[in-house]
Amino acid sequence: MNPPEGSEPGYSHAEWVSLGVSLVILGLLVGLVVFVWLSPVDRPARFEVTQGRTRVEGHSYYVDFTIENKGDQTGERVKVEGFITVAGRREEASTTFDFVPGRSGEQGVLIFEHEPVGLVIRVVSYQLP
Amino acid sequence: MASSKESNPWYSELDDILRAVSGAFLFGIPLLYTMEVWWAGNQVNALHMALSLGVSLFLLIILDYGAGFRKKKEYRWTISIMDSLVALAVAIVCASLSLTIIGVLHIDLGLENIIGHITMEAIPFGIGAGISDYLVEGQKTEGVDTPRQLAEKKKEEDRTTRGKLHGTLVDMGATGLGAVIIGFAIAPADEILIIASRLSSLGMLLIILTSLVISYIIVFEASFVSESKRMEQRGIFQHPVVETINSYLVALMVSLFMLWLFQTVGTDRSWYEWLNYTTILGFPASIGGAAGRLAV
Repeated sequence: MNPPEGSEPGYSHAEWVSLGVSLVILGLLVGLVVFVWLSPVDRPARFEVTQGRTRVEGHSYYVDFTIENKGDQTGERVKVEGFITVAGRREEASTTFDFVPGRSGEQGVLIFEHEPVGLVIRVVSYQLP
Repeated sequence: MASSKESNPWYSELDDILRAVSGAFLFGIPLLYTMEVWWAGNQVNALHMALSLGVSLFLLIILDYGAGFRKKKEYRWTISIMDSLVALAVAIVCASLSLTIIGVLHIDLGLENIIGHITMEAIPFGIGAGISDYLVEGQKTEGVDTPRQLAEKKKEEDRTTRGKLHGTLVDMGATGLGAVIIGFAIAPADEILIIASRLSSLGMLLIILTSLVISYIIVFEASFVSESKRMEQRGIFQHPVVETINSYLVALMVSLFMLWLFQTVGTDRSWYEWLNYTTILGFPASIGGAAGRLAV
């Protein structure tokens, strides 16, 4: 093996190239870690739920919804509940998300027996990671 | 032929990098199919990420003293550090790509969690890259040591149909054994179902393609001697590509059997689920199979 002049002995051109590429990749990742470090991450989780389309499957009503975490901290076991009132009786549906990370969103579906008129969807609980 | 390849620094560098990739996957794949590692990625903060990168690099520098991923020249600490940086970068690329392929890493996660996932998964992949010289090359050295007579004997075996059949059976058996060793720990786990639930058809094709490419790399590219030895071929499946595909099919069959054993698939499931779960378990199983074939 002929090391190029002025280079570390035993390190070939090819090895320098892969070191260079590696440094770019590592630099990018370290840069992103520093960016995450510097950007504020203390805002607690804050959820917003948006109701989506409703479709009928068999005798049930499937209501799509999107949950967004506008905060920075991750919410764990985030429980979303929806209810409608049909002829004085309350019909509820709920689902739980394992994780809703900060500044990101998830989608879910609630299923009702009756047509979901006047549906209210809200987050009822979550755990801190 | 091998000597001209080896004297070309670009080719030998490619060989070194592919060896690191092989080691990364061999060691990293069980932890790729571990949801606790994914969750860890959701929970880490920037300090943890920086620490895990630092620890990985430190580990790699230590490992490079005994193993590393390059063919050993004389040890020099400056070169060792530079090699460790390369190994870490290889681990990061492998971890990111494989997390993306199995659908764990997606853009909706947000920047912090994406980086968290990558830095956590890069640790096992990094360790694998750091000991790849031992993992991949270790078995090869035994092959190098074998005297010329053994190779002659093998060639002689090749000429007869029985010898060829024997070679093929040995290869297939080794593939099956390797696939069982890696796949058995993963087959009963929920990760298979979770990955399947998130996977698109394109994702499934990507998993198949990746399984084939990585197991090809592990067996045929990661070591020159084994490669040239294998090119001579002693089995029925003459061409390396054909052998890779056949071994992949063996790994798939082993996966299917393990899934059936653990009742993940049964007659009550649709064919689509069978296909999905088998392909997903086939990824680690094919890598295990490749490792098994290395040992032969």
